[in-house]
Amino acid sequence: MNVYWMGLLSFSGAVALETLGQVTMKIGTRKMPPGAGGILRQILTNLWVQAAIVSFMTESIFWTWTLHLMPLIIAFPMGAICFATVALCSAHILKERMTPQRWLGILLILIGVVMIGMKA
Amino acid sequence: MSIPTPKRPRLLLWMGLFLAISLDTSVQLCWRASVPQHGGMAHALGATLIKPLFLLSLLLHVWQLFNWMMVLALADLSFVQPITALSYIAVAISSHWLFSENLDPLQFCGIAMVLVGVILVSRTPSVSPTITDIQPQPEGSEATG
Repeated sequence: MNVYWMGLLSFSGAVALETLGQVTMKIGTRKMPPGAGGILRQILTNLWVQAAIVSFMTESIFWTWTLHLMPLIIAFPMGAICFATVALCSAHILKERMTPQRWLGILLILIGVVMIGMKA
Repeated sequence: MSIPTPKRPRLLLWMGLFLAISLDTSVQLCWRASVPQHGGMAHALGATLIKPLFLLSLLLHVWQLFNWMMVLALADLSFVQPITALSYIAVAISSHWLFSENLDPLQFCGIAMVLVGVILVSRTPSVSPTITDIQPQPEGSEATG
């Protein structure tokens, strides 16, 4: 398998784990009082939160591997796809209310982040 | 069993978002400073301080985790996550100041687009009706964003 496919695979893994981590973390904090004590208790007892933390830690391994295989100038703007994946999961898994204005905002942000990441 | 609610959830939410963006930006800049590729005093400084910077970035990650959990408890994921894109703007501008990286027109356009996008998202209701863990504000105030 050549290095570009490996990089793409590693990158896909990183994006999937980021999305998974965000969604599971949101599920885990749904009934959480926002004080520090509540947060600590959730970290120690809530499986969703723990799954999210594991997800994020694994993601950083995938991301490090991706940057090993692919230049930052390519990987970084591609990372903007996380905004789309998280938005889609929020709509379909978390059942959040996604208005057209929110979708438009997220689209502009996604394009904007790609443009910021692409240095001439 | 009722969940204790913060007295001013919107203020807490925006403070949390500000902190999340600041921490994101700091972690990014720490990481960039520790990779000596370009010129600039901050890069040279970063290269000589790698070990303390690494420890600092670990602490920042823990702080990020706690803060992000608080933010997620207060609003929708699809509300807060796009707003963290402001950190990309902060990193681009800070890199310009600290590492002497020039900003080209495409990046300025990107910055403008992210700003407009964030404004649009921030003017949608921050909490969905199906997720009523934190009691919403009195009727009417939620719709004004």
